[in-house]
Amino acid sequence: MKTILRPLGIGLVMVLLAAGCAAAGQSVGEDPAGPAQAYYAEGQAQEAAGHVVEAARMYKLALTLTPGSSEIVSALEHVESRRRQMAEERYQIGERDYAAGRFLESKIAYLAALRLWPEHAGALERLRSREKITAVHQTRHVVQKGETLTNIAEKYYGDYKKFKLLAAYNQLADPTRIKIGQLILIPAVGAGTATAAGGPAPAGDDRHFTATVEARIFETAQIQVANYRNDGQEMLQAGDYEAAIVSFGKVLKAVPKDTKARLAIVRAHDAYGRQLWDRQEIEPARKQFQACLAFREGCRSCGKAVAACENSYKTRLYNRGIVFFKAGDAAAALGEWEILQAMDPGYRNVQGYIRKAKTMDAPPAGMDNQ
Amino acid sequence: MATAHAHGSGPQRGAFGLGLALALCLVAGATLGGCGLYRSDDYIICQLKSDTTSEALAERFLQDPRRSWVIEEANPGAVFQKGKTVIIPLQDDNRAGLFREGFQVVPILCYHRFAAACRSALCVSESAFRAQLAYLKENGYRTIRLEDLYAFLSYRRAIPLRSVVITIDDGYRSSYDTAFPLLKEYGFTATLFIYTDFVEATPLSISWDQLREMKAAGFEVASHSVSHCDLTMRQAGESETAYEARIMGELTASKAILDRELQQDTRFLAYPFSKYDRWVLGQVEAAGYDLGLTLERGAIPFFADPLVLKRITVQEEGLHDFGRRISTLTPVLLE
Repeated sequence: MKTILRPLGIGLVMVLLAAGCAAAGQSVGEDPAGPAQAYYAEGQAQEAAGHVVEAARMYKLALTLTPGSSEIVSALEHVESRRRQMAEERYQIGERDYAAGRFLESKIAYLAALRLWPEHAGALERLRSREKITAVHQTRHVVQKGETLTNIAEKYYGDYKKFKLLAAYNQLADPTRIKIGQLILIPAVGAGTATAAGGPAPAGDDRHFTATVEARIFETAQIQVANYRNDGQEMLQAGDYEAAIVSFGKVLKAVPKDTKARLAIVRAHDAYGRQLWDRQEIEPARKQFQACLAFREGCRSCGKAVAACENSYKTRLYNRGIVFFKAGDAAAALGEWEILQAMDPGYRNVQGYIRKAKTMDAPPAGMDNQ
Repeated sequence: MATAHAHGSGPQRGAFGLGLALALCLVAGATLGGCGLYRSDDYIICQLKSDTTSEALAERFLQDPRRSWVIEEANPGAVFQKGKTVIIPLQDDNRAGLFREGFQVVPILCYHRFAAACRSALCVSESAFRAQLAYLKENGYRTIRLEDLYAFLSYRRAIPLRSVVITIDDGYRSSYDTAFPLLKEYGFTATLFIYTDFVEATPLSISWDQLREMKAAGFEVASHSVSHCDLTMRQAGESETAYEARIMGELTASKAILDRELQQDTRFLAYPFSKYDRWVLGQVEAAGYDLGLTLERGAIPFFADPLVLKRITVQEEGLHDFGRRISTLTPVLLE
């Protein structure tokens, strides 16, 4: 049975191959005129409904099938020129809306123009420059004693009259009143930028760094900082000190004087340091203690927390020294005690221990291990 | 088909024969053009001589299997089976994503950390993330890379209609441990924004090797500065000159480190804390970045300012809300 089946199978394959390929050959292939007419008819219906973009697509599909059809070629030419014309009309509407301060309407008109004619350079330019915050190339100037806005304009532009530009660009209500230390942004004056940057910002146009834009940036950043702060708090409670430190560290990058974050990060470093030390990860633990001790300076509100952290470290240095000393490693004991001595020369009996360690090989009698 | 069953020993034999015949037919067809073929400057129209996929068609006719979406969108609902007529567009004639009923916008999603369970707004649980990816998949979303978004913003190239960008900030290790396998499972990619100080700095940090592995899998890695500082803020007692030099360092050094470690040209930046001002934007541009990402809320039309791109911060939220926030079309009649 099997021996008969095998040649039969091969024969079958050959038959199928011939039949299958022949069937596939009978495609739009054989007679494209029918499907082409269908595309053409659909295009005409779209055009009649005023849908010129869709009509052009249908004509192009029809012409893909029957490139020689002069009827469809001229239909396409016609609809393409209608598209261009309609795009230009939309663009002009956009220009009028823009000039009248109707910015949203103008944007929609420009978008319609570009949809109708994707190569409409004017509409494209309007759409893409509208949203840009311009004059990003600028210098920062901090007002010095005795300087006026006219001095500054003279200095950067060689033209004192440009103080008006600076006043507008920096949104100064009164150009005669600038303060020492005040930041004045000096926009680069190049092809067209001066007027673009200096002219009054039309209401609702985001191109200029308006108070609204600034408020939005500020508000967004506040939310981010709050997220990091909450995350730090959650992590601290969960005992994930590493993660808490990362998050509070970010809060302090944004708000260096955030008292709650400082306090929290000091506590996290302390707790993490103790945890690492108790796991015998001494060097990483030292880094944690050093990190919280760095907050000794300039953080009045974390005084207690820093003191607690310092105490954690000192206790551990003291005891570790004792352990080394008892084990006969006077040099290692000295290492710990000298760090402690540098931090707090009067700490318990550290001075006495250091003296003993320097002169004795064996642990001093009556030493208490704390 | 009927012939196959009549002459074969059963359905199995028939299926075998048919399969082989189709395979041979495909080989024969490929040499003849693959399908009954009509070509103009604008389109290819072909009738499939064998079952195929949009990827195979894209590879053959558009020289890029990743452009399969072009063919899928031109043939809505199509199954690419033998005998079907397929339209293959050759022109990017809607590079801005403009339609009669509105204009395309791209949601850029922003994540930070992942964990088994979360209580903070910075963290999304593994199960919630999986549900969100499944939602994206079921609803026809495709992840695009920022490189593709940049081409869209430059009016150079269209992108899939349901495009979304997934970004993960800060370089937590969970981007690799949790997000990476899930994203791969769903066939998605993401862009990581890392601040270089954090890489390999703590047990929570991602490593360079992990970043390289993700990059090799089609992910993007971009800059989030060196130290995650507020780029607009002068430090206490810092002179103006020192401040400017420090910020330029944050921008150029992070780029240089990423360029070197990942053998790339880093051109995208996310502003730490979403903080920037006009001066910072100028420096960002001068340092060689093309795109700057904020955390202001919104999706991206083609005419958005490339240096101030909005994003959508994703939290653990109902999928209904999630879906509502990631619309890809702003409805407005464009006639």
